[in-house]
Amino acid sequence: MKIEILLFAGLREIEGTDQIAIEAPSGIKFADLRLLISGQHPRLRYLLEASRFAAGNCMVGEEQLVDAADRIAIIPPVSGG
Amino acid sequence: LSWPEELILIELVDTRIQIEPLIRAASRPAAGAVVAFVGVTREFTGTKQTVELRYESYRELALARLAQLETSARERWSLVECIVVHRLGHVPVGEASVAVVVSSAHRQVAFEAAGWLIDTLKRDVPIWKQEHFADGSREWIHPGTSSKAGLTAD
Repeated sequence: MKIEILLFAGLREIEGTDQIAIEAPSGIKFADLRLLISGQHPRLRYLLEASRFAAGNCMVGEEQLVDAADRIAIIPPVSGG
Repeated sequence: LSWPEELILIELVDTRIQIEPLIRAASRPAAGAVVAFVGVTREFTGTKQTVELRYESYRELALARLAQLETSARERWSLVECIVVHRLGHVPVGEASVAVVVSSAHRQVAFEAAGWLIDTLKRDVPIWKQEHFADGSREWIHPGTSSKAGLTAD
């Protein structure tokens, strides 16, 4: 399945785009998705390690299954305020 | 005068934050205290001189998280009004990036709730700032990470 992933702030700047697409087997966990992104987009690796994933309007854990129909995003450490 | 039962005001704006209308909105008959926290762009961090900050958000998630913060604050404290406004885009030195305005019957509750709201916003809500320095460099701020990760652009 093709998973589209939103990028923000430093991640977006490093990659030069606000969205990447990852081809992945269905039934993978977010922990697996993290490894795939890390392998295919090595420049994101450092900041990705400090980031979490969101699916829809929820933060998700590493063991949760990825649903490509969700709005998936990588959330790097935040700095609002 | 008639007062709405409960005014919910959570906003992400692209223009200057006007504090006065927020304080007026929070000043209700049941409130004996209105506490306003306003975060502004600071010129110096150590020796580095900032010209402006640029904010971006993940709008849908940020609004959802802010609404959850308001719900949590209202569960924890007895609040009359609870207003959070964050500005996005360019925020020059001296201008407000965020306002938290809370009213309650007594001041202790309003101080505690306002403090908790801004602390939790800074830790949890998907909004990011990029420092634009006087020397022309800029840097996305991701607490706990080093800017050596290719985030610094001259």
